[in-house]
Amino acid sequence: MKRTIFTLIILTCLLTLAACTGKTNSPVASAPTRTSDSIGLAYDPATGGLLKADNQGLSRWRSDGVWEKLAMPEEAGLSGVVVNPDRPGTVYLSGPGLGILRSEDAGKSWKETNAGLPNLDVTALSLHSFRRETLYAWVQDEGIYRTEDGGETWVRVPDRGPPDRDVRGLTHSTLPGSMNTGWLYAATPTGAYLSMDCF
Amino acid sequence: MGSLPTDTMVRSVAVDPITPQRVYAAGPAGLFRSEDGGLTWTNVDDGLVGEPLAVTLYPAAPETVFVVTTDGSVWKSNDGATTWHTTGPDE
Repeated sequence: MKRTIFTLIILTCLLTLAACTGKTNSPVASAPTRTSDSIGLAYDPATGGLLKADNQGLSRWRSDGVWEKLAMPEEAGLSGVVVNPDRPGTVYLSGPGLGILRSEDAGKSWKETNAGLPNLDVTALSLHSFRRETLYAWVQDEGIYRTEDGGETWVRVPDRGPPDRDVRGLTHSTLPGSMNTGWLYAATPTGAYLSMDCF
Repeated sequence: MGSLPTDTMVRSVAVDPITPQRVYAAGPAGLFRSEDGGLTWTNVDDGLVGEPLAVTLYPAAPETVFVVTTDGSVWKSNDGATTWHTTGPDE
């Protein structure tokens, strides 16, 4: 327990300092990969079901206990799925080699929303807890990117991220104590890390 | 109360939007719940069979927790991960 507390305290301090000294990365080319080690899971208020994004693509959990694979613009491994609870037809997907897609019609059609991302290898995606146009994405070998306009434009967050750069999941939280609107949890192979979203 | 096992893989984190101190973490070591934002953790997968892959909540009633395991099974808790049963999400 002491180690966990120590890790959280140190990480918070480091990331707060990093916020003041961050840099903006230039776009770089990246060979797309099509497999994903991440998994995204979201409750879909439009259907009362679950949506799962993983290496097999996008699936919906049906009431008869079957995962139904949903059509996608292209076959790709996925890393994340989030649903806007205030507009349930608005769904975002992420994937390595895919970048980020947005649907405004509950998955019938998809639009690429990658402007500003340095490459398309997105391994984690999260929706802000109450600002529904704000999302966070982890770009492999780069770091955390944020959009405040529903994915139209992405900017680099001046945050070095967790010590383990193999981020498999991001989750926003309104846990008290933040200097801004909340916190971000990162799920990694070496544990969960916490960072303030004060950027 | 206890901590996450040291250097343990976490695949998925879910946060209670009403009580943000309550956090869930899923991974090969099991499902864990924190009541203090992640400082301490309790294993809460008693009755849940299989290796947790991902966890999420029903935002309007966050005591409703869903876990998907490696075999594709969906487990649901209606009491904040205290008890579990396999189910479809709309049951």
